[in-house]
Amino acid sequence: MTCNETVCIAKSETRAEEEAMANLWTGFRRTPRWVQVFTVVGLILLAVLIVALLGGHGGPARHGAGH
Amino acid sequence: MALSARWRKAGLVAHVAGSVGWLGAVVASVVLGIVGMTSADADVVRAVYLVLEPLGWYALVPFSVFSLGTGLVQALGTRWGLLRHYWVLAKLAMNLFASGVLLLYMQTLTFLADTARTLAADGDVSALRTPSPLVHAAAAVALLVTALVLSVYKPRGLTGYGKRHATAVREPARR
Repeated sequence: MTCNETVCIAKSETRAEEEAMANLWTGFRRTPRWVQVFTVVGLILLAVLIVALLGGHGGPARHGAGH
Repeated sequence: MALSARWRKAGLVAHVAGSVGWLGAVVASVVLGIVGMTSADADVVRAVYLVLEPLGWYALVPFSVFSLGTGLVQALGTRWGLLRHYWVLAKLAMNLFASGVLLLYMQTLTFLADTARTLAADGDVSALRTPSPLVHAAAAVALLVTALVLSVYKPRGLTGYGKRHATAVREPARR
């Protein structure tokens, strides 16, 4: 063992995160093609919604032309 | 909890009726949006933005909530489950997304109706015209038609939970 306890914990946490991400990606690749397409389109829509809300488009002020 | 055949069919009728009602109200919004953008008659334009608000509060919002509620009952009360099949999960996500955007957008429809109400009869309606209701309604039609297609075709695909559930159900039956 060449690392002290703190470094070891940090390394194992990083490894666990990498494995979790890899598992997530593998799981995603195993889903049917239509689910993959839906997920990508859904994430894009969600991003558009968040950007619109952050840009102040959630309220009425920007919608009424000339108001 | 599995529903009896009689309740399952009644639930399905309610869900289809609510969802079709929602789609119909959204199509009406598309028509109103087009009229609001294109009509040369100032009274008609003002009327469009006045009508869109009650259409939202008394048709779009209730139908969306009803569709969500009956959909949840149908999913949880039948063999389909809520989290077992990707198509059910996709429909749930789409319904929550559409209902959320609709509730947020009701502020805009209320604002437009207030503006139309305060605009003088001979006022300039070009200040009122906006493609926003048409764009939102057209997007909602696309979303609801996609949900309809998913409901009818029921594309294959079990979630991880669905696979585990299917195995758990099959195993005791083999013993």
